[in-house]
Amino acid sequence: MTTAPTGEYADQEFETIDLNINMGPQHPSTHGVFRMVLTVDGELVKDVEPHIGYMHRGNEKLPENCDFRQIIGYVDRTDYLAQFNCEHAYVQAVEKLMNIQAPERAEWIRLILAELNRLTSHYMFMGAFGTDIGVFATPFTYAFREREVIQDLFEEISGDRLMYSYFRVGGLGWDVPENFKERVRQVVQHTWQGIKDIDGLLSKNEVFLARTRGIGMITQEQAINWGCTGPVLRATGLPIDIRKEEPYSFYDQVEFDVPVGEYGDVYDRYYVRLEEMRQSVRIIEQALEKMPDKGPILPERLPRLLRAPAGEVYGRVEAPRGEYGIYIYSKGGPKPWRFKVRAPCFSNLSALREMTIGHYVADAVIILGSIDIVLCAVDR
Amino acid sequence: MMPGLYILNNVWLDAFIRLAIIVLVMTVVVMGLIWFERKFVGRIQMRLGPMRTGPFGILQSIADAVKLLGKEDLRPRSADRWLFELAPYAVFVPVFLAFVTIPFTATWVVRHLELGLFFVVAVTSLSTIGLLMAAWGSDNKYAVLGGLRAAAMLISYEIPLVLVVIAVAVIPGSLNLRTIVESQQAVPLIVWQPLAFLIFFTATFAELNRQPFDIAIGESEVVGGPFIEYSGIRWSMFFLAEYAALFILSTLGALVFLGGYAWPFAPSSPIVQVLLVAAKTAFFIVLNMWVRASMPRLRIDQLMAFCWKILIPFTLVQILVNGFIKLYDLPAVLYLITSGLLLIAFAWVITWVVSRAPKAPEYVRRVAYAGHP
Amino acid sequence: MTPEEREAAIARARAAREAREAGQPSAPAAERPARPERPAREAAAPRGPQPPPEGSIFDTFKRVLPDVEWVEAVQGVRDVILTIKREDVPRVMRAAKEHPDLALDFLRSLHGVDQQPEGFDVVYLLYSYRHHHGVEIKTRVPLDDPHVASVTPIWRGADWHERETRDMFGIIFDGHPNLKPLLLPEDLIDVHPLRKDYPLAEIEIVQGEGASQEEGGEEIE
Repeated sequence: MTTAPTGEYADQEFETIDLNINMGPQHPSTHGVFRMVLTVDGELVKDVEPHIGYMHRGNEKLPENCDFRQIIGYVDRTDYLAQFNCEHAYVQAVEKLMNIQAPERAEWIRLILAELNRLTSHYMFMGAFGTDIGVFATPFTYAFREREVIQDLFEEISGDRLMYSYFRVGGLGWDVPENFKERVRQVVQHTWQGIKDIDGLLSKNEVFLARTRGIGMITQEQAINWGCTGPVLRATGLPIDIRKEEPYSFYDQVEFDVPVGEYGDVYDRYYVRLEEMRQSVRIIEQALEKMPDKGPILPERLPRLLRAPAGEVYGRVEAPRGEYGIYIYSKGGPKPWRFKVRAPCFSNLSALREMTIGHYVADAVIILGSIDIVLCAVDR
Repeated sequence: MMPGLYILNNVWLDAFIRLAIIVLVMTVVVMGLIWFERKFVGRIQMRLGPMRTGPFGILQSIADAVKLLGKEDLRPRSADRWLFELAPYAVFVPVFLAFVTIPFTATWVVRHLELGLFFVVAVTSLSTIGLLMAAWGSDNKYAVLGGLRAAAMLISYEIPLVLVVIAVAVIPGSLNLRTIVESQQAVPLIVWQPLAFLIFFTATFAELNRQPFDIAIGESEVVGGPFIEYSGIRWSMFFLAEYAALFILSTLGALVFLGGYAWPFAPSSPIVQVLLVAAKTAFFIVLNMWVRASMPRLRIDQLMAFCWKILIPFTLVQILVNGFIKLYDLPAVLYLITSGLLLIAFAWVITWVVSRAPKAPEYVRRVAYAGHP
Repeated sequence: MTPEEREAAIARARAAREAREAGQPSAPAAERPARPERPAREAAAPRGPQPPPEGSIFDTFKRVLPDVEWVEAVQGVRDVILTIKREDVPRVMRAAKEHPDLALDFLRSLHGVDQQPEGFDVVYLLYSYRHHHGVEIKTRVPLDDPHVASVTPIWRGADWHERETRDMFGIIFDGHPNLKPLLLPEDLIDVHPLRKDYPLAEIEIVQGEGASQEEGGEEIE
């Protein structure tokens, strides 16, 4: 849309004002309380200035006054769509610090629940992204139907639909119900159809392709430079996944592939997430076979008060949005001295400017949707 | 031109009564359409739609109307008063004007006009000025963005709409809607002109600001575009206008392409004729809502490119070909053959456009690094 | 599952848990045995911080940057932790990213730790996708002069991390293009919440009978 004046007007400079559009904290598609100020020239975005901090709740200061067992509730509420993954990062960090080994059955259950949570999180993405693109809420209802099925299972296990607080340092809070394996198999069967539904609705839709191909491209070097992880990085073509790089829990005993994209654009991020859902189902099915039917879920001798030795640890997992890490610096005692959450959405969102400049206003919304941010993780 | 009999044998009273009937019936039909859309789109989305207000939620539109009437009539302080307040009427009135010449049966029409088809299309395009008034008068950046997009889009898509309608009117040789309908007693025009039907159908989405062409009022981007500052009954008038326009364009499609009340059989009773027209209109409306619930929205430059680079060339070729066939009195089956060939070419062009590889990020990188450390 | 099945499942889980708990000796705090069943791994490991083992990334660092003074080099729980002086930060970081043997192109996290009264620690967590190794580099910044060189020219992702660290601790990163408040409101420039002298109220109500945390009060199950 750059039109240089020609002919007799070639020497004049037309003075046009760049418009500042404020996609303010209240907006249907900023995925939370997020503000972006776009400087546009007509419809072309010249600059993006994101303003975050509206959801800052002091989630890193509050745990400094909490026992290690109590922090599990705070960790849930950072990334509220992938709670089991966040809890997993936290308990992994504390267990490494205190040199506690969770029993085998607990680890397998943690793995299965984390992968189921990856499914719910990606379903949420499909729903919200479809609405951003403009489909009139159809992928939203499809995705949420599937999500409800999985959340029903989570409610049976942990008693809660959204903030589970189920993992404990050393294992799990309580054992899963007796029919856990059958229920998970039921859920997984249902999910295959749901993935196919959404795939059929969006993946080959010409308008969807026209809207998302070539938009928000980012190269591999840029992505690593900005610290992007997760589907944003894998869409550029790098098969980087913490479950393969630094395997934790029992991920080295299950077989799965890491889907990668090609161009690093919005369509690839969507497709990578769709494929990841299929791989999650594969992991869950294998884990169900390998999981022991009986066994303890907490170690034999867990001290009544968890005192960590002096030291620091950085526990990281592959959350649905990228690398979620918990850094704990302890000076001995039952409370951490510094508790830091490395949220994937924080780094992914900082690359927004890079991805959006040069596109149109309508694309800015789609690019923001494709990064899949959760403001509570960005702002903590 | 007289529609048959003048009611009460007085020209002015007859016109007044017919117009009053149209207004009443259309209001009810529009409210029914709103209910139907919510139920139908809800079913596509695996939910029930309105269920509580009356049996099957039939009274939902009335409940909405009552609620909206009770709302405060807000106007932003810096909004231009006259533009802001007159805009809903400027959108609403032209759409109702178009009902003047739509024949539901041979005699149930306000007036037959020789230029009937042209009149309908021309008058419905007047509502663009209403959208611009709303956009400018709201004094809001989102409204301006949405309104300018709407103006560009509506004006652009008028062209294929009008041209296609003229291309189709070449076959019966008249723009009088009654003549067009009654010339389809044997074969409806959709059989002779499938490409024209497709282009007409696509252009109606743009004229109605519906998905996939609702970039002007996109809910998730410009939060309603020109309608962003409106609330209460003024806001609902925009939507009444949209549904009335949906009804008009669907009826137009039913009359021009599907044969109206003359195909497949020409009933003698006017009630059955109206039911036939209503059934065909319903077919169009259902198709429209179905597409609306399933397609993402196109970006403004994409839909402008689609209009100017794809739709208009094909329409122009279609007019040329039709005129050629009519002028030299060639056999009618040539209409079908040429339109079919153009349809295949159309499909091929679109497939090719969509499957192109994404453009390189060169431009993006150049702009991003200029002046940035 | 039917409600009866659900009830039965809950009852079974509860019974299992109670059986497990009943099996444990309920010894009061004074008589608890002194850690009998720790895994052999920890029993053999000596206490205190250990230097990084042979062949770890520390050796690569020493080879690439032979003249840097390593204030401390420790094998942490998962990563090697190196401490450098703050003047060395630009040099070490640039070598870490650009030297082909290190290739630490991914800055995982950049944050501060309050170590008052000695100052603040700035912690850099780095990882290399090419060589699959990672490291944690720390540097100490004094309290009265909390400046350190910014690594934004090296890793663009450090941009927002440094802004957040400045918000939370007051550490100024020299060379940062845009050090405005990120998480805090734009006018709260001189309030630094994560410092230890910024108040945080004690939790007053604890599970159990109101014993405070330090005395190892109630077991939180």
